[in-house]
Amino acid sequence: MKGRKKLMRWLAVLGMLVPLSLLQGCWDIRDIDNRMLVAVLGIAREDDQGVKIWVRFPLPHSPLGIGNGDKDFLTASQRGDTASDALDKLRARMPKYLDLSQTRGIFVDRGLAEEKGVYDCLDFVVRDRMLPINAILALIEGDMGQLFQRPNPSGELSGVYTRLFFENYAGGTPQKNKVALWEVFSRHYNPLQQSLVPLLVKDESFQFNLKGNAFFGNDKMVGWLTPEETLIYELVADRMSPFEIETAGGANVKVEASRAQIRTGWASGKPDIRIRIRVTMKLMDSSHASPMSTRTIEEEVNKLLEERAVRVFAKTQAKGSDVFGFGNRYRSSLTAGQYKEWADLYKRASITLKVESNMRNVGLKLLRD
Amino acid sequence: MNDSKLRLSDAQYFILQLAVFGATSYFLYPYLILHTDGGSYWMPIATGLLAGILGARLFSGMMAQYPGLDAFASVKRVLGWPGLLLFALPYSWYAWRAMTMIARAHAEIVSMTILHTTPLWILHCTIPIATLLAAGGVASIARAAAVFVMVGIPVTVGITLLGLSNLDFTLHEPWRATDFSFLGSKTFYTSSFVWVGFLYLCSCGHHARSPGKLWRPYAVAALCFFPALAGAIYLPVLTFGVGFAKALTFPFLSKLDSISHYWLVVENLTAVFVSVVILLVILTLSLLLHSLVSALRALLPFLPSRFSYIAVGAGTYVSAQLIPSWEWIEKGIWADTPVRIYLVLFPSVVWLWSRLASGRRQRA
Repeated sequence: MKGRKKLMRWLAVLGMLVPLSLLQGCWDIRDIDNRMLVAVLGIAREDDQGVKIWVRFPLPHSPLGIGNGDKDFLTASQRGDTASDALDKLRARMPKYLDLSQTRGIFVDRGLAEEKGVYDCLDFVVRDRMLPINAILALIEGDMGQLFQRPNPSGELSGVYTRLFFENYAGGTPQKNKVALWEVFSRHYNPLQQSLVPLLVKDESFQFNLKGNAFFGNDKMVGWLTPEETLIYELVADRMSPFEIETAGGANVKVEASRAQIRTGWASGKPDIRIRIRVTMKLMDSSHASPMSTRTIEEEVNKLLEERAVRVFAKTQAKGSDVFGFGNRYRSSLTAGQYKEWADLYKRASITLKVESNMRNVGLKLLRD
Repeated sequence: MNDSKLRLSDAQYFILQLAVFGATSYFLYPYLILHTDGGSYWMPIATGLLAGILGARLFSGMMAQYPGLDAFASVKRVLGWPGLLLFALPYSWYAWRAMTMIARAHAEIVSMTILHTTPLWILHCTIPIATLLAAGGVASIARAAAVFVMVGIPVTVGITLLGLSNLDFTLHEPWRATDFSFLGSKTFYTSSFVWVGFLYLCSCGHHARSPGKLWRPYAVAALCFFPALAGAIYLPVLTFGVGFAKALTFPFLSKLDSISHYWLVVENLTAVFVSVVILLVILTLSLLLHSLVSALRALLPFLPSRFSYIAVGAGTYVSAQLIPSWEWIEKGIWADTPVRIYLVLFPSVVWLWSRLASGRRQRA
């Protein structure tokens, strides 16, 4: 009797261990040497109907020297009706599993963004979870094929280069305005805010250069801001990281921190938006020919940013593209049915921006008032 | 230790309730709350919490009438066989459906997020594990719960805290909206499945030192888990906005996908989270299995215990396999709502009947 009880106990333990071992997920195992990891994915307009995709795979260095010559990457392209269809067709050509789970960057052709928008060609990403939604998204102006064929000049693996270009811990600056894929999806579903996506062009020395940041209306690119104008977006959206600006008087200051206070309301049936930005900065360089006092430099900075802001608001208002998300602040005063009218309301909005800069220090060299 | 003489402390009940909250809160609850009418999601969550505590109070009030008996024996003592049939039959139906749907929902989540090609019959292996755990009795479940919760809850809380990045508070619908239109939403009532964890302890009531105070560990667990539960709804909303969060099947898991920090060693937070929640699912399934077997044995006392566990475990496994789609789970949880509400309200009938009976006795 005792022996039987012991046997039953062992059977119970076994009965728990066997299912546990099955739950390890071995079914989904694909060894790393049986995968080709996509580092960067590019999508461009091919003709009126279809799209062409580019993918770049990093290649491991083989001690036998077999592979893609001296290159540490392989580029492939494929035409298809949609990006998802092109990826399917590409799979049919590949000797290994096409693994998109490590994709670091997604490039979309500017023409495609202007004509068809970004969301439709990337809808499959959310549905299938085949691509990480925190991948970086950028628009490309010019020949995408050429961009995918060029080796990274600073030697990083494909994909890592793109990430480093945007990340604050590496080459990122506020002008570059890092945008993750999920942010674009989020704006697509939010009629009260539009996307602002980096626009890149080919660079002679490096892989690409920042031309500006494209703003959207109804999911399509409708205009772009220069890198300098993008700083206003960063200041208003409180996404600032330290950056340098040159004043009209020739002094260079570094904006170290900023805080935006946004007050919204209605005036004469129009949205009334008042922004006050407090900027903390330090002096980097001053003109020896015409030395300026701290107060004068602060006033110069205030004037420079305020004038630039007027241009930025005019540009985005003309297209009804609220990239700043002011519309989100009107949720309590608009009904859900009125959200779609926000683009028109934004066009008529009265926006004022006041900058109050404060020079925290002047570096190790004294600045004589 | 003899299982029937086992005494569970309030801390153990609290741990069991935390496990149930952890297992049931992430698969359908955020989706349901986001689809309730009105923009203030805190209102359906808080209303559910209060209704849950009230339900637990009624339930422990029923258990307090006959300390030392489980819920089924208490009902039988007060209402006799008709009462037992009116309670144990719907309870068995509900427990079986809840087990089936919890197991299948988590298998679907795992399939959608990490293991895309693993067959469902493998992913349903949580059921045999839970069956063996349940067959070990309440003592085994309580011991396993201490370990599982020690692993599961800190990870769940830690991941929720990581989700505090990239929040934009202007994305939320007006905070002060006080319309009660959510009360007219079907999804609000469907979401009540999260708050009925006290029902899963039907078979454990007689292990309580003071059954009348059994609602307290439930209330403490509910209040402790409340921030995590609110996070499952608000973190996606404040990151993605209401529109995109509503369009997602698993908004909280997508929120985890969006987290990206230079210093974060773990790359796939979603996989860690889903794996940890499976531990809590196994625990909840074992609790449900144990209570379902207790209900069946209250109805059919001649049923051998070991056979009952094997039969219920096998039945649950087969039923989970037979569920055709995710949509079916959504409809199934809605279809069970009347039974769930009936079971929550049933203790008040027992209490009333008991009061009437004692009144009659005093008059006689």
